[in-house]
Amino acid sequence: MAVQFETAVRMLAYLRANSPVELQTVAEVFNLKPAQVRRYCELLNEARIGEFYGENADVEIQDDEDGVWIETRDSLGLDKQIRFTPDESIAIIGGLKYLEAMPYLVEQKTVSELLLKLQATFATTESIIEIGTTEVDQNIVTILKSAIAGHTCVEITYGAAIDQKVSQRTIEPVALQANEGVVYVRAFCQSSEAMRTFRVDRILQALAINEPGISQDTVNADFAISSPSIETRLRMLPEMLESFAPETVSGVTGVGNLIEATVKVTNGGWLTSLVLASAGDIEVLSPQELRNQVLEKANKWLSS
Amino acid sequence: MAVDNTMRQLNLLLVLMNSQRPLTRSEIFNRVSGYAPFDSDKELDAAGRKFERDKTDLRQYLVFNEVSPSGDSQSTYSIDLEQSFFAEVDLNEDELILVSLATGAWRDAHLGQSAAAGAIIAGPEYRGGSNIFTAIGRDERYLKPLEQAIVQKLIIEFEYYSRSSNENKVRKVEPWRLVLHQEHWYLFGFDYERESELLFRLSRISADVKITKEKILNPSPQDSDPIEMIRSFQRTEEQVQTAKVRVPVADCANLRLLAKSFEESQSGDILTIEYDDAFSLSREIALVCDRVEVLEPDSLKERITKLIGQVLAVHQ
Repeated sequence: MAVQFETAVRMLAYLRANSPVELQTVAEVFNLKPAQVRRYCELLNEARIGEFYGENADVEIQDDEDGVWIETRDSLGLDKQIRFTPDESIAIIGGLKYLEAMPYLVEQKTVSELLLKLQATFATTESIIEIGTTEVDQNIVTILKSAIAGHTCVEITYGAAIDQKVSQRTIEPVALQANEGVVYVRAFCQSSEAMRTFRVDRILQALAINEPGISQDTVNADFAISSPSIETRLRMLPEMLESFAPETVSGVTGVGNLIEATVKVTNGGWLTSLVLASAGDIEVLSPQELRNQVLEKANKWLSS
Repeated sequence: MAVDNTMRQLNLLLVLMNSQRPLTRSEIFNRVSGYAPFDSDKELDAAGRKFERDKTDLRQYLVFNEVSPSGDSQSTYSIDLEQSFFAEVDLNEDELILVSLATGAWRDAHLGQSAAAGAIIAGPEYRGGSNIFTAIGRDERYLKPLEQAIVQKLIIEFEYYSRSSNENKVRKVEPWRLVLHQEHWYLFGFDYERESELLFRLSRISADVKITKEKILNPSPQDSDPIEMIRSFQRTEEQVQTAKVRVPVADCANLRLLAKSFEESQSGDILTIEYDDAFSLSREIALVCDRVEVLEPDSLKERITKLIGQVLAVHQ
């Protein structure tokens, strides 16, 4: 294992500030395995301020019945964090800018004050990352947040992106997620009797129902969607790849200014709609059935 | 026993931190474990090379003061403690949850790793401290080089696909900011070809970004709003227009979400949609073109027919 200077210095200051601290906690904070944390502690315990002075940092690992604890009594003055690197500052400030762009999710005033505080601490005056987010109905978000907090139900009118059909559902929201600026609600859907993820900007209406939820699911339920099963071969402009989840794309090859790729989708109707809206930027090469569907729908428009 | 590089660098830091005055190289060699032995010129050279490497490595994180006096006197070294370390940040519980949310959001490998440092501030106990989850920067291959070029204020070159000319061209750009809008990443910078500020969609960059050694000449303009620039590009109409479309009951959700109002009729619902971006609206209508009827205006209908014609052209 390569022991990094930056991690060692950060860890010594962290240990000093939090002593005694559980080894497992340190492993989580520094994204290391417990054995790696032990290695760092051994190294830090040997660190000294001079060959002839002999003082060492005093870092001790104690195994007892409550777990494995690290106690630090002397860090030789190294009890402040080294400044974050430009990359680290940018990532942290950028993440907060992301939150700041979604005032309906988090308290904007708190985020703004925190940004000022951290920018002063990091000596960073500006963010190189700017974020615009999808507009959502703040009243709907308020209803969802309230239902999450109170474990109650919400009746929604929802427009599914996959087929544009509108349905009425009673859901038990458990969490909100902001993914690339788009807000989703994870909820137990009583209509389908399963956990589902809904785009908040596709909820046409929401009505709070003061009924307790019946689902036993928790927020730990992941946000995975069902596995795509239809394999298609597409020719398109490279930028159209953004329309598909990266994990569904394979076999990308260049053809002049265009690319060809194998893309797995869950719903053929969704793909044909996307192709129709692409103004010729996506061509279905296979299967022929999907290609025919594109032609059929396009001709229907032209003959109307 | 050989002292590994990290231990030597750690010792160097501790020696410099705890010294009352700047130290010369030979004083450092004598005090810091890991440079000895240097009984011969060859060993002294090796120690010197280690010291140079350590300075380079440590300068990524610390501010070194290196004073080189004139004459025969040796250079001295010290660490600027104020510039190298930050004071403890006093954050309340709400702020710690926000830091945890912000730093846990990154899905980009490079920025995700960098953001992990934020956990030192927030600590693991605030992870999952709310019913909100965040994600950003998923698998965007150009974020890392662009971010590095922006930080280092260096000009970049890359091949970029132009829709208007349907060709890839090399662009020379002074990079300023990264912008995420409507699930797309953009680079905002000064374009040498157009000699003006410009936005580049990252998905149209067709080859690796080359970071040159040339420094940027134009500073990032603080009064420019790239997100508003993107929005203004999308406006096709000078004034807000009104469209009326007929859709089946409980269908065409994408158009219902855009509708200002709707009225029921025997053959479906008639939606009234206000728009200033005919390009986007025509694409939304094309998504459901097999079951929507555009009642007005004709200009929108013609635009959709042209769009569908382009689809037919590549499929027939």
